[in-house]
Amino acid sequence: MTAKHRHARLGLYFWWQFHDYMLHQAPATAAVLAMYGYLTLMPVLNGSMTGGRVYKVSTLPTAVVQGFFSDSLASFVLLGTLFATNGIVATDRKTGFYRFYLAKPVSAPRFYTNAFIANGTGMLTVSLMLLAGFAAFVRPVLPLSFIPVVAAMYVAFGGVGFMLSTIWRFDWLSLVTVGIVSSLGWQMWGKDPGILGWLVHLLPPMHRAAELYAYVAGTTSIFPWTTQLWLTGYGTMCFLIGIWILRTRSLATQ
Amino acid sequence: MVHLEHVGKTYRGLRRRVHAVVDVTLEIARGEVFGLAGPNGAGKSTLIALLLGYLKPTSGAIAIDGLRPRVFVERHGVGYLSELVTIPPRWRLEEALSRYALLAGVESTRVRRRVAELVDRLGLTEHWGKQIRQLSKGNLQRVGLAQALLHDEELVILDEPTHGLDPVWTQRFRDIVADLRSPERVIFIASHNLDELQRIADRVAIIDHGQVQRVVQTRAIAADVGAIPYRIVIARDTATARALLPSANEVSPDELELPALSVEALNDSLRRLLAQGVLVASVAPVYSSLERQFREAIKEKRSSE
Repeated sequence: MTAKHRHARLGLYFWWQFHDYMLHQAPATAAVLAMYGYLTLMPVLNGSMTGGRVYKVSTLPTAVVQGFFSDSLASFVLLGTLFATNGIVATDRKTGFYRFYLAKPVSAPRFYTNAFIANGTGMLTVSLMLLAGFAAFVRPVLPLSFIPVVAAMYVAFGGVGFMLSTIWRFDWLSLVTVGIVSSLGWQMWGKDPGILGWLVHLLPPMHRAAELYAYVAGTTSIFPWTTQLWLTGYGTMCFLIGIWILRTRSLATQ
Repeated sequence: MVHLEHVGKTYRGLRRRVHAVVDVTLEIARGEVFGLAGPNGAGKSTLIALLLGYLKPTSGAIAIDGLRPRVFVERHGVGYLSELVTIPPRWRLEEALSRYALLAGVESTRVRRRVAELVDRLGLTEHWGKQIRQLSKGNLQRVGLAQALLHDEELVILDEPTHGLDPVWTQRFRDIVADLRSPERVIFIASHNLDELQRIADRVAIIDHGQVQRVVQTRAIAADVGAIPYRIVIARDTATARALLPSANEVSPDELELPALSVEALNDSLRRLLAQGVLVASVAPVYSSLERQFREAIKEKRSSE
């Protein structure tokens, strides 16, 4: 063979994938979050949730702001990751878009890892924009832990989504199911000394995420390192399983 | 360069198995334009998916330049046009080609120029800013062809490349393939269009029920046409022509179809017509000699079942 070894220019292609995220998933994520914020905050401001006591945004008690911030962050991370990883591999396989991408000198694992990072970068960008909105309209905050926590949660939840997307096309539905089953599983059998207690460890440790959000919101001062490591480790493991599936499974269905 | 040895692919469903490709052995050398012909569902697209490493064979082995197909594609890339051109519909034409150019490894400083060249060559300039979903079938096919030609690939695989193209662009496609011919390159074309394959391919494998029925040298069959039916259009004195050719079927008042004849027998018939003052407007084979081979191969396969 005289042909030279060649590579796709994935570094430059990254910006196209980032552009796709910002054009298609980011508006949906931001709109849902803005609606969530409005629906959560309005009852507090107009007094319907506070026994008739009306607040202005500037006079909201710190505890209310922290709770709102923490809940919003949790919702953002779950919804944002869901939007960012939904169909990341499965849609290309279903529509056949992979045929032209992967006839070029690029492997499926490298191409979709690039997409995973681009979407994660997009989600971080949207999260910073929402944080800026929060700082402008509610309370000026810029916790340093915000970015690593959002990134870690993207890896944790997104890793599971990525793996599911390499398996079948119902990844969105199955990711939601995994989220619900793991929450219930940890609640019911998290402390069970028997087999169920062991089995529940196979599910993503999403119940621990609240500790991270609480730290970012400022309600606790000790950074939960073990939680952060457990969550990112779990997500990374799922992501690597997804890469292995991409490497070993046929891309075409038929 | 491309080597398939006893390759088989079976799809396993819950209730039944489908043998899409059965014991295919082929060797395609550099410099060749190789055709693949077969009826619908014969296994052409499966064979192409195997060549690109999108599917793994159930049995046998495929090597492209000594490498497994997926490894070859990941290292060198392939100029590939799929039967269905699937490009995200919201992408704009120039955006789509720029993206594929980056994936094909075209240098970033050359991307714009290379895309402009191909858009011009494939007559897509007026559609430059359009979204993919706004393009007609023929234009979409040309975009698919453009993305396959972005880089100077050594293996080009085209699945039904003229599907949806008008006669002008079908002819231009032939010119493009002629330009692509190179001693270093393999061009692999799957098509229903036997006339097209006969014109552009050096060899054509006829496939049916997943099996290669025969591999035909198109140059050899061009020299040895064999017996095929012809249609003759008569410009003057059709009645005499009908009387002189009693075995011919009347297709229309001035058109006759002769049964399968050798070239010598055809010329004898024409001489007789001309001697009697019949004026012949045109003579054309009903189907090409490759089509004759194709019909025979499929018929043999069906009768052996």
